[in-house]
Amino acid sequence: MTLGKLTVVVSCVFAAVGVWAATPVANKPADKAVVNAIAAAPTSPASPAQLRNILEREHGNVVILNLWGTWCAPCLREIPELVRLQQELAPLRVSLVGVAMDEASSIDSMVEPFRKKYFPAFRTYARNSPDMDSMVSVVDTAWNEILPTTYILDREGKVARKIQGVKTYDEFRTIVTKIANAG
Amino acid sequence: MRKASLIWSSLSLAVLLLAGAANAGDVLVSASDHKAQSPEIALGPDGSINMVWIDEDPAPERHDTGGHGHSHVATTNLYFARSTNGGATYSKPHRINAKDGEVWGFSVSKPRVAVGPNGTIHVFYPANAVNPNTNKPVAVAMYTRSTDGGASFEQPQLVNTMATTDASVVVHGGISHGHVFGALAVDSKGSVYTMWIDTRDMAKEGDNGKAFMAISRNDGKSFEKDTELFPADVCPCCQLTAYVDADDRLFVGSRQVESGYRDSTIAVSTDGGRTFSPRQRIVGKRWAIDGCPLKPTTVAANGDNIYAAYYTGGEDPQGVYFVHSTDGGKNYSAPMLVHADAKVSDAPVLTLAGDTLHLFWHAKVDDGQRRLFTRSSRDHGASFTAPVELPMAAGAAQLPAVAGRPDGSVQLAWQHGSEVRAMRWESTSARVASTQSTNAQSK
Repeated sequence: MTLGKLTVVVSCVFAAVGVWAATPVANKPADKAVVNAIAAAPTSPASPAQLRNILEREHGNVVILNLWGTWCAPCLREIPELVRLQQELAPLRVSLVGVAMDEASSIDSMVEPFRKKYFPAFRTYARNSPDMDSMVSVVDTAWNEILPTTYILDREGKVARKIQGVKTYDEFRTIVTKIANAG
Repeated sequence: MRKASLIWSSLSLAVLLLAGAANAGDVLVSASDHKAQSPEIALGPDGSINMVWIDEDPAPERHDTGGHGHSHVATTNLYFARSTNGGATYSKPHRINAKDGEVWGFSVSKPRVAVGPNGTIHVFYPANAVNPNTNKPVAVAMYTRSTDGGASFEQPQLVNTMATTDASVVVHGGISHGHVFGALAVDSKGSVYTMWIDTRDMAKEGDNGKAFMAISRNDGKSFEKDTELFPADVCPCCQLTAYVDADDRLFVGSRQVESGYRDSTIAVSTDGGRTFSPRQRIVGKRWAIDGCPLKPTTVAANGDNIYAAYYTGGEDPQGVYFVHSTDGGKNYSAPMLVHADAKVSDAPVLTLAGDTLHLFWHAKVDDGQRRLFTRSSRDHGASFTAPVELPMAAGAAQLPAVAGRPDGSVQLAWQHGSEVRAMRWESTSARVASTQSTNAQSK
């Protein structure tokens, strides 16, 4: 290859990167295989007080707070989509925090192996509380123990939207993007 | 007007205080250093009070000694206690399951207890096991009984047929199959009915559970082979309920998955469980939910009167609703919201005590903790007293279990924090505050 041709090729590559970088985040396709291969930190136990601290540290971000359980088949369908969505919307400062309703005592035996196998990029905690309600009361004192439940918290940590039951990627994307773009 | 309001409020308060005074204080039943949850209760023909619950020794080294590694606390046990003095005191709790840690401890898959006409105490519970067909972990349906007033319990019997497949990737929760979320009832002839939600035929994502049943015609000594009760459209996580009325009719409450809805249904058998009516949907507005509600349907019946209560997200507001039929189940009333002032209400249980229908549930009315509430009806569910919060110790109270006596009183058990507590309850003869009709849809 001549120097001239090489220059053209490199320029095209930089141009392509530039176009990609300039494309609004919401229009970029997310690579499902790539995002789910990015490992998140292992599952940790969290008490209600610890969850409150975790969420306070997220102030400034829009938080997708997803309640799930390893026994909840509908929950497991939507988690990979939420991981993909968070990766796509990360430049809008969107975070994803999962809380498994499995007890913390089963982290090593169940929750963490499960997470690593099926959605290693999912950042999740396991509840360290006497019951599910005391954990979820950190954000919602009127939770009705239905799974999955997903709360979209605004940048001040307030619940902007509560979603129950499985929703599609596009449904979540519409909801979260609107809240993220609201400031 | 202000004077009248003051007088009325004072009278209402006096009645409420009298209601509290007529009822015994709550009693701690479980061991104080254990983590106890999900009690169930049954009265014997001798007036005894028999309770079971899921119990966990909090010592961490005892967790998952079974090595099953599944999603719920593996090392849990089933405990039993009994009162023979009307609930004033209870026996020291003791473990029912033979092998330590073998009970599948999920708070919304409650163990069950019933007492037969001859005093036999029947207990039904989910247990951890290994399927010999696949060598994979399973949660199975176990039955045991006591013929000596609860002093000892017999070797438990496995009542479900083991699956021949490994559906771990479908069933999840660390088990290859589940035979759980069960119900138990006994009729006047001593027939014992066990039923549960069964995943043996689940093969792919999206499949639902079936309901299976196993019957004993000899007071629990042995069981017939299990048979399919409902096809593969049973909400896999909504515990079944069973009720036998004075005419030995067997009612089964369940939640059916159909076209994206999960609604409460009732089926009834009038021939000792050999055949059942088609499931009848009893709700008003349907509940569209693709998720795990974890919500049973409580049922009671007396003659042509059939009563049910359930949580639904199909109505506005969401919460616990009550329906009833006065024509043997041909038609049901419009649903009545049970607790209009609650921020969230759940876990309803019904019982008949004499000529009174009692409904109990847990709810939050503010940003505080769950508390127990009750209301009652003396006109077959046509109208109810106003909701009353039960007087008990401070703290989170939830998951009530009830048994009614012919004298109109109720024996109540519940999970209080990490304890199991009990009390005797008698509703006052006077109506408290306002009544609410169930004849029209009310909010």
